[in-house]
Amino acid sequence: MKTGDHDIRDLVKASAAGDANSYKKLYEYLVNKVYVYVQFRTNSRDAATDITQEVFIDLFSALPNFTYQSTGQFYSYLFTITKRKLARHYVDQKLRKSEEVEFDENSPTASVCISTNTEVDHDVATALDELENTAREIVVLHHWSRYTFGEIALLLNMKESAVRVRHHRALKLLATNLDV
Amino acid sequence: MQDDKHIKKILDTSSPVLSEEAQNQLWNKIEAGLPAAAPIPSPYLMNVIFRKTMTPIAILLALILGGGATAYASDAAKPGDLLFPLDRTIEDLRLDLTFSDAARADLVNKFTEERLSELREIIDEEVSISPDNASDSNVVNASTTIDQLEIDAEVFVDTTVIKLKLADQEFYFETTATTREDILAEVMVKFPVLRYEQIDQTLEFMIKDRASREKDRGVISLSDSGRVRIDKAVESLISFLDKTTPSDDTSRDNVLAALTREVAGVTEPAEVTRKNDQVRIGDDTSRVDIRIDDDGGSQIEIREGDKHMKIEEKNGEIKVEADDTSVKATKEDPENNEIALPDGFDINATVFNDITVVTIKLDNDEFYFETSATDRNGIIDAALEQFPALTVEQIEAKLSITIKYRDSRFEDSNLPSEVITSLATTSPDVLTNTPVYSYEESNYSEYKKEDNNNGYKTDYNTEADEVKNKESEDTQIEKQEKKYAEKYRQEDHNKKEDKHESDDYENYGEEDD
Repeated sequence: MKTGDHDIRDLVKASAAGDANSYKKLYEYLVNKVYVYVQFRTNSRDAATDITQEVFIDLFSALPNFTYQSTGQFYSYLFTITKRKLARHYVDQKLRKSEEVEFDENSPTASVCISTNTEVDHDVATALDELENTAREIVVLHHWSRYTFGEIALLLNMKESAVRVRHHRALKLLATNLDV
Repeated sequence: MQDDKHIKKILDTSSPVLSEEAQNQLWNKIEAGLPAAAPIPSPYLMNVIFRKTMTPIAILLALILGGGATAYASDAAKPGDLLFPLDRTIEDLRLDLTFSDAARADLVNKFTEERLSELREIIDEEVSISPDNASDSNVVNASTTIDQLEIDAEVFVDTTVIKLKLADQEFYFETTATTREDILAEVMVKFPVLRYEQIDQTLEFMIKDRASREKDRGVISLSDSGRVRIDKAVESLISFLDKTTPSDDTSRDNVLAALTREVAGVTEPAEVTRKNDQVRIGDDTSRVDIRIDDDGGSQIEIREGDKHMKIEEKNGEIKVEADDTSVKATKEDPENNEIALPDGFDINATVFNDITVVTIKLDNDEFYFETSATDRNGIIDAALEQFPALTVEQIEAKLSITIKYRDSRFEDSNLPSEVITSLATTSPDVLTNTPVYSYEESNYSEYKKEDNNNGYKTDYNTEADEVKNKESEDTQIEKQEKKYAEKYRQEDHNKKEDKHESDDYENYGEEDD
C-alpha cells in the first residue's frame, strides 16, 4: 500500500501527540529509507542498525516540536537527523581507531570500504565507488532509499533539474563500469 | 534508454534493505527506547498538591467553595493590584478542579474575557490624556480659543478616535461613543475647561466604514509605569492562553487578534506623528516614514544618521534603494576625487527566491551573471569578482536592487547557454570601454546546436568557445539545468514530444517515483 502525503501528515501528527501505534506505522514506511542510506555510509550492518535505532528514537522525541508543512520538508528533517547521527558515528570511529587510517566519509578510502560489504553486490559497489560523491549519494537516495528527484533536491539543497542531470550522467558511467 | 532501464534494475535489486524480521527486531529496540508518554491528568486532587506555589488545600477550598470577601475582592484585581496574585491562584485552582471538558472550556472563556477586559481598563487608565495645561487662562477669549481649537472625531467600526488640537498641543483619546451627542459629552468630560458651544462649533464628525489603523491615531504618549502595567497584563493573558488552549485553537487566535488590536502602537514609547498621509516614527535624525499611496503602493523610508534606505512596494514588486549620505558627501566634495563612471554604466540586480540575476550595462553591451547573494554587500562582492576592474564606489553609485517574491524563470536571466566565468582575463576593460568579451559579438548559432552526447559542444571555433573551454564541469551542469528546466516547463505546458536526446529525462526516473 502506497502511503500518500495525507497519510504521512496524519502519522506525523499522531506520532507527535505520542501515539506509539502511529509511530510504528511511520517507522515501517521510513525504516528502509533511513537504513539503506546509513548502511551505505557506514559499511557496517551493526552500525547501520544502531544508528537507525537512534535516528528513530530521536525523531520521536523531536516530532512534538516539528511543524509538518510537506512530505518533502519532513524527509529533509529526517535526513538532517540522520546526517547528525552519522557525523557522530564518524567522530566515534575516529576516536576508537586513532591509530588506524582516519575514516573520512568523503574520501575514496571510505568508498572502497563499501566494496567489501557483503550486503551489496561487489560489482555494483565497485561501480558506485567510481562516482563522485554527490552523484553517488543521488543514486543511493533514489534507487535504494526510494526518494524522488524532487525530494532529493530538498535533501541535498540542489535544483531538481541538477539532480536529474547528475543522476543521468551517473547511470551512464555506471553502465560503462558495469559493462551493461 | 534500454541501457538505463537495465542499470536501474541492477541498482534497485542491489539495495541492502532490511528484512521484515529484522525490521520487527529493530522496532522492538526502538520502542523500548522511546520516551514515556505524558501522564494522563489525574481526576483526583493529587496534581494540585504537587504545585509548588500551593497553600494548604483546605484554605483554598474554603476560598473557592465557601466564597469569602477576599475571594470576591480578588476577582476584581488587575495586574499590579495587591490581590492580583490571589485572583490568579484561585482561577488556576478552579480550572484544576473542573473535570468536565465543557465546564472547563466555559471557565477558560470566562477568564480570558476577564483578562481582556482588565487589559482594556488598564489601557484606558494609562493612555487617555487629560489636558492639564488647558487651563482657564487659555480660554479667556472664547473667539481666540475657537480659532485655536480643532476637534476631529472619526467613528471606525471598532472604535472612535477623537483628536483635539489646542494651540500647538495635540491630544487624542478613544471612546466607544458613536453619535455626535455622545462624543460631545465625552469631550466635555475629558476637557472640562471647554464649553459645549465651543466643542459643538468645532467638532468635525466623520464616520469611517472600516476598522481603525495605527496611522489613524495621532500623538501617543504613555508613562513608563503605564507601559509596565500594560506589559504585565499582556504577558498574563498570553501565559494564560498558552496554558489553557491548544496551539491550533481558533478561539485562541481570535483572542490574540483582539489583544493585538488593544495594544497596537500603545506598548512602545515611540514618538508617532501623523502628517497628511504619512506616519513618522522617530525624529529628524533617526526615523521611519511610512506612506500608503492612493494606488495601493507603499513606501517606507528609513533614515539613521547618514544612512538612508527607501523601500517601495507596488503591484507586488519591491524596490530597495539604499545610500550612505556620508559617502555621497565625500563624492560631491570637490576636494576629493570624483568617481569616474564608465560610459553608459549601469548595474541592476533582481533578487528572486532561488537566485539573484545581475545585469551590468556598459555603453551598448550587456553582461549577466547569477549569484546566490541576496543583500547589497553580497551583490557588490559578486560583481567585483566578475568584474575586478570595477570599483566599489562605481558599483555603489549605480546599483539598484529589485526583489521579486518568486522563483526565477528562464527568461529572467536572459542568459545564453554560457555563463560568465569569473576570470579576470575575460572581464571587460571598463575604463577604456573596450570589452574583451561580449555576448553580442559571439556566435550564438554554435551554442544552439544540439549535441548527441550530453549536449556539450566539442568543436570550438570562436572567441567565446575558448572561454567555454575553460568552464568548469559545474558550469556545464548549470547550462544543462537551464536547458532541461525550460524543456520540462514546455513539456508540461504544451504536452508535446521532444525529439531531443533529453527526451530521456522526461520520464526519467518517474517510473520509479
